[in-house]
Amino acid sequence: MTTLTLDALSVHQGERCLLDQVSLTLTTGRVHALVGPSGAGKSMTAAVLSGSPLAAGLARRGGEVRVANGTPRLAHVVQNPRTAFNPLMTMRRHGLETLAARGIRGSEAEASLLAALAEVGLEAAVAPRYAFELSGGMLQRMMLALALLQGADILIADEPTSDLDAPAQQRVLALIERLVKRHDLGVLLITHDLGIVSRYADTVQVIDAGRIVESTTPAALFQAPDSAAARALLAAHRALSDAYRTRAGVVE
Amino acid sequence: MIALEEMTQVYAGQRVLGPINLALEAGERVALVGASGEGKSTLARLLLGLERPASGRLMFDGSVLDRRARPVMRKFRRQVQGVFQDAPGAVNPRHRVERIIGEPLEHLTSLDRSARQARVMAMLAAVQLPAELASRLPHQLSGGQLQRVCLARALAIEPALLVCDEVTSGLDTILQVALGDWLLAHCRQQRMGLVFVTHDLRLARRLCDRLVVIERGVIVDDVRAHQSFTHPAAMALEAAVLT
Repeated sequence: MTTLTLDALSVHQGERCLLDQVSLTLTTGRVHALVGPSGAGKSMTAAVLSGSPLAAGLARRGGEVRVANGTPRLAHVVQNPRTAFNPLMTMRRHGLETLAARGIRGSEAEASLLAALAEVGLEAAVAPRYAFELSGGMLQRMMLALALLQGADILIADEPTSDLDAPAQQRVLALIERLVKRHDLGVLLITHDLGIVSRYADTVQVIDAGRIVESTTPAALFQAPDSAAARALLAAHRALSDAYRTRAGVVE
Repeated sequence: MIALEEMTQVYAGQRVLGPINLALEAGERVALVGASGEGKSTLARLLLGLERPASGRLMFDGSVLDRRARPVMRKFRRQVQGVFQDAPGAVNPRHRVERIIGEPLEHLTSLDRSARQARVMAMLAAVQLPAELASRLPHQLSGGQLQRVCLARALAIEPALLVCDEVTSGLDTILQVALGDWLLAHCRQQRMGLVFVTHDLRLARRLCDRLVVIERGVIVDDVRAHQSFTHPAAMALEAAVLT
């Protein structure tokens, strides 16, 4: 079991504090959700964790990343996968370059690529395609295939399904869940949808205005939300799903 | 009030929509739901008269909408307004918020300058944005704020029908519910009709009284909001809802 810990990350923009001592721990084989309203600092935390440089004018303090048992390989899945692919490269080339970075080439690489495509539910016919030829759901699967090819054991998934319709969202989340089990992936799942948290996360932290205001389990969060942000998210979730249940006449 | 008759649309030689027959009563709130790429947005643009259909007619107030008849189109624009998902793409980045909201008032009403100014400020308040945002540029606003500016612009001329294409998709759930509920209250108060394009059935059922399901360019289900779906495509959408 590998754990990755982010320790007291703060980010300032001049006098303004954007992230205030954000700490979190990811464990392989577990899905950890980070939830909060827009602008709370979810994506910035994810970006720092996956090693992206901060924008100009932002200063980072603390935020040491520590690892116990092993050296985790991080992969990052973003909300809009269209921007994550080189428009001039086929899916095959994206895959082969990822493998080449690990020293895997030739027929072994080709075989790994096909295996990864199959595992995320993409046909081999996707390999010669460019990003513009694929749907959002397919690109998100391809991102996950690349994470596998990278040999990732920690996956930072920043709103991975916000741009997808509900059925595609379900399929991608179910795929992530399967990969967690089969490859012992540790996932940081960033979302503002508590429906996703209750269904897919093992643990959850609530972030509000750059500060972690609650660290708990989904069940406890639903039963007794402790912070204003959690209560607001829960109220929004209930408003949506209650309308659904009562008006659709769906029996639980 | 508005109806599509035998309408089809063709892109690059391929039929993407239709034939569609859809009639909306005044004040009716209709959700257009379906998975990505099934034709919801194409249908919305046809309803707004923003695209020329391959065949079929757009009926408005009992007669065929003639795009060449200026007075008719002017009336149509006054009564039917649209708001889209991509708020930053729907505003001029060099115009201040007050000018963005005031633009349709200038072109589609006879209000004088001070009356327009007053209406702009009233609309800002109506969508619950602080008055000081009036002098801001689009990039100085958050996604949720800018979407509310677009709503304020569309609603400023008091249309009879508002077509919203995935207006809440980029927002977090708290804002989705807040904006949705505000819109619902506004519809009821102004007796305004609503076409709400979404792939989120939860929001569709909360806001609308009729659900129309699109699959592969055709209407496959059309039910009241409290009724169950009958078509497999609609039931698949329902099965994916995380409650």
